[in-house]
Amino acid sequence: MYFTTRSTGIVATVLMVAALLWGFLFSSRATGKRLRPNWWLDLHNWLGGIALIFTGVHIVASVLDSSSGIGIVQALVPATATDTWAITWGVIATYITVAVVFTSWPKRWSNRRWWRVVHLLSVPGTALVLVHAYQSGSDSSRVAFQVGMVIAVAFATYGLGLRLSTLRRSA
Amino acid sequence: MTNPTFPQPVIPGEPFVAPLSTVPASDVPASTASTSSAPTKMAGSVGSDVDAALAARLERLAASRAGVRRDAVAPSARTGGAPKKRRHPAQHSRTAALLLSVLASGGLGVLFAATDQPVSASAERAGIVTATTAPTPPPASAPSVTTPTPPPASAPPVTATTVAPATTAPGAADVTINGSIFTNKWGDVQVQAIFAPDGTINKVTALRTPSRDGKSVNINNRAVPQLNSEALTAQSAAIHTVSGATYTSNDYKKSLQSAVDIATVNGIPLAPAAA
Repeated sequence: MYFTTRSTGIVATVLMVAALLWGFLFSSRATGKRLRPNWWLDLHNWLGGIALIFTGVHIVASVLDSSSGIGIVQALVPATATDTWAITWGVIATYITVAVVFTSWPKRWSNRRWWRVVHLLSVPGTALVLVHAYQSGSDSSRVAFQVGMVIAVAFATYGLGLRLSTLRRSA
Repeated sequence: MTNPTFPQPVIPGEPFVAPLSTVPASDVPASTASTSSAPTKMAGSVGSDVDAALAARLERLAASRAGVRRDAVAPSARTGGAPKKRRHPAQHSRTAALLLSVLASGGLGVLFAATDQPVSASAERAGIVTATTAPTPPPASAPSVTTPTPPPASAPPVTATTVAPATTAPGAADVTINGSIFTNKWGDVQVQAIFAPDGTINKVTALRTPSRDGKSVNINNRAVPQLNSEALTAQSAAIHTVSGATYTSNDYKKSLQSAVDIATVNGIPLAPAAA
């Protein structure tokens, strides 16, 4: 369970960053001409969904791992784990991800403005995921992990910058 | 089956002539069915399968003009079979992403299991190690077993290995818990804590400290006893960092905290932290 917690946590983080980057590329129309926009949107939706699934597996594995010190209460309620902030960021990021994914399904009949607000929460949500991974990750002292974190932050920042630059142009 | 009608321009003054396709087949004389003119043939007594094929062809033409993909046209018009399942635009990429994620999770799990340092038989893995059982009280003290009494002033302090029968209910046990291993650039740090049933931390031991070089050994020889003493005084992991041993102190606190977390999750109450 300990190894499952670590591996699924890393994969969920990568999927979150990938989903965010795909969303930025799609919304800023920087998808090129080779692949159709609906391909980008479809994959963005899928990456977000499986990121949530792997996050769920990560949480279940950490609760079942007797050496993690995390029970159901600590996994669901922020600020109840004794290693407070590291776990709290992860709990909050999970709730944000759940809200983003489940509000995207009935997109047709929800208020478009509120949908955008909730969907944009995925940006701070991904940031919280990265902070949680660094603070509570068992591999945070490994060089490969730190290099991976830098790459993930670079991709996310690139996507955000691209989206902001196209926002200004359209405004 | 009625044939689709095509709009006909109406010229004022001239009698309106209905499009040939609206003329019911019954009104067309049988003798004209053999002529080779196309309009007559269209409106005439052509077999039903020709009508069906023509209708299907017209549907496809209409669909292509509307920009609808051929796949979206009801295949029953062409083949008469069950409707095809619509594919996602990124179907293959979805499958590839899912497979890659599952393989990455499994691969990383195997990698961690293979590369992590093996734990010794003395169970240095984080978690509950032992629950020390209190010795059975002698028959002479049976009344104190059934009705626990407060300890006398001269009673020895409760430790991990000795329990005063007059003060401990039967079946109570101290619990030894190993905290998680934390690694810094100087090495690994792991702490073991022994909890009394009431949550009091009776003993704290550093199982692992950085010892790759002499300097680390000297630093930790000085720092670890201080950290142990502070932890017992504070009864928590909220202790001060020892100057000159920042990495060890930080990981010591984390490891002790993880032991406290494990105790909490397993139902051991936390003793109130000392002021």
